[in-house]
Amino acid sequence: MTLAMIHWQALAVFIFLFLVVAVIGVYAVRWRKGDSNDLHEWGLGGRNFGVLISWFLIGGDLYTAYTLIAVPALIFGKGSIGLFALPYTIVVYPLMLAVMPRLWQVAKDRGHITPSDYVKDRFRSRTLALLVAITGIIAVIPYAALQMYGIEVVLAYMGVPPTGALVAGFVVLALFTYISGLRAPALISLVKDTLIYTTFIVAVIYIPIKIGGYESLFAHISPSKLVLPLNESSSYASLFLGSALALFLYPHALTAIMGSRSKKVVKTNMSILPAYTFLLGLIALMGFMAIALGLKASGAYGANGIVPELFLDMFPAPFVGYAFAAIAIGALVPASIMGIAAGNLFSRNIYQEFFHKDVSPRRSTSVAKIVALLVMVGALLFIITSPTKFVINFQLAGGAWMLQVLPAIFLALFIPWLDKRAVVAGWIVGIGWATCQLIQEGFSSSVHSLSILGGMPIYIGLSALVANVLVVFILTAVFRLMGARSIDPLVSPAVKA
Amino acid sequence: MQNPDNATHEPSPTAGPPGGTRHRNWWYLLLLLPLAGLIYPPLYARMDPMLGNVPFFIWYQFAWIFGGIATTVIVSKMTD
Repeated sequence: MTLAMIHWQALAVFIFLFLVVAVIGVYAVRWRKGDSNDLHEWGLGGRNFGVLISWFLIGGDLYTAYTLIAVPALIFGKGSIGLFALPYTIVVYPLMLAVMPRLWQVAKDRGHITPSDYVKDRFRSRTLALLVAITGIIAVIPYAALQMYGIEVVLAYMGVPPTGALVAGFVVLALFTYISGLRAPALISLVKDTLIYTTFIVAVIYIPIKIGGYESLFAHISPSKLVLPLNESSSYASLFLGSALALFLYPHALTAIMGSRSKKVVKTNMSILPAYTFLLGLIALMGFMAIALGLKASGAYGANGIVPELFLDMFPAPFVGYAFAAIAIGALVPASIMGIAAGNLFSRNIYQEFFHKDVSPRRSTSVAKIVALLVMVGALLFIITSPTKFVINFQLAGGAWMLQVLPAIFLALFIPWLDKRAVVAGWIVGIGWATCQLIQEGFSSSVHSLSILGGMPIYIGLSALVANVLVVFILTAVFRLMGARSIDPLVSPAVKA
Repeated sequence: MQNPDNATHEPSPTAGPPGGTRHRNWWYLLLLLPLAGLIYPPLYARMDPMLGNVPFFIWYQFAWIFGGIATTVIVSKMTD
């Protein structure tokens, strides 16, 4: 197909749905009571989302539009290793059931809005809080940029000049984020998920029927692409485990969790979020469908074009518009939360902490709003001006870096005697070693062969995390031997006993 | 940050491992089950036994979605 021709019918449906979402997003500010000039309201939705809204919000936040495009693309391009997204999003919820309810409770009791608020309060360390804030902001920018990329891909497949249309989409995003804060993506995620679920359920039922059922789908593909080759085992396992551990360290994920009304809401969500995993698994199979149909990843977007290409080949025009709107709106929700999370971090843990101690609540909210806009503008410029490959590599690196704050947040929740200097040192070693490995891979691979393990390839973020945690434990022991006694100030004697 | 001098927060009986009583803590170990079932891919990276025509590698992992839900539901219930 040619990219030059505009698909008017699809575009009309697309624009209509996009406008509906813009209105909903701006209206969201009046959805519930609360002063949107207060950061607790703007940046956390007043910590008042119940089970259902939290489910939509967190789901919309974690299973991003880019994921929906990139996972099938990875399977199409590299075969079964792309399925790592499935175990990744399976093990994450049981693991986080042990962590997130606890973090939610501390954040609620102590009035924390950002993960760095917790770190500062827990370790009484502005330095460590600053490192966590900066890591989060840096990791989230390329991630937000990839959401814009998701919008760009579907726009291009409708034959629209992507840059101009992308700017229009950005204005919608910026407007509702600035005005309504976290309430906007929360409300929009209801629409988004309705669109996404219907689109992909239709796709994973209808496309295989056209191919001749799931039986013949797999019969068309060589076993070497369907089953993980043994030499990719360590990459697969370390990628899914490392990604699962990193997911809820990202500021946008924690913002969505902290917006929940109660600990029960958080716990319940760990059991109902896997519904999205099931959907993601089916979407992943679209990569196999594209292989079975013999699609060629020949367009400007390479393998990342196969999902839109499948839709265009298989569906009538109005449904193509519907499906593309689902993807684009699916990009707005996480992009908005990412902007908000970065805004909160900057306002609370950099501006207020280092530049303006006695800032008014109103001012601190304005700062967060402006930084959220800047982050989204930055993400937009990033995707327009940089080669996509660069943004993707930066996002991979961001994930490996993000994982290095795990001791400061997850371990800190459970181990009261961690020494803050040891945690800072661990972060430095983790970031340093991750970056060294990334440089050796030219930033283009997230796995690196380790000679200590006989050349076994391991996810860079995970091996760096192991080094990081070792440093944290060893140095904590050393500082204790030297007489230092660190204790979690947030844990009462009752909990220790 | 509210009240930085107040160094305690209400300990909650439903919190994670160090929080609850001993018999409650053991339930949290169940949460490692999905990880244990998936962390060693050579165990399931094979074509057979197929389910319909779906390779074992694929349906085994899909099955763990439900295994994961079961563990979180059980642990949530037992630690409430």
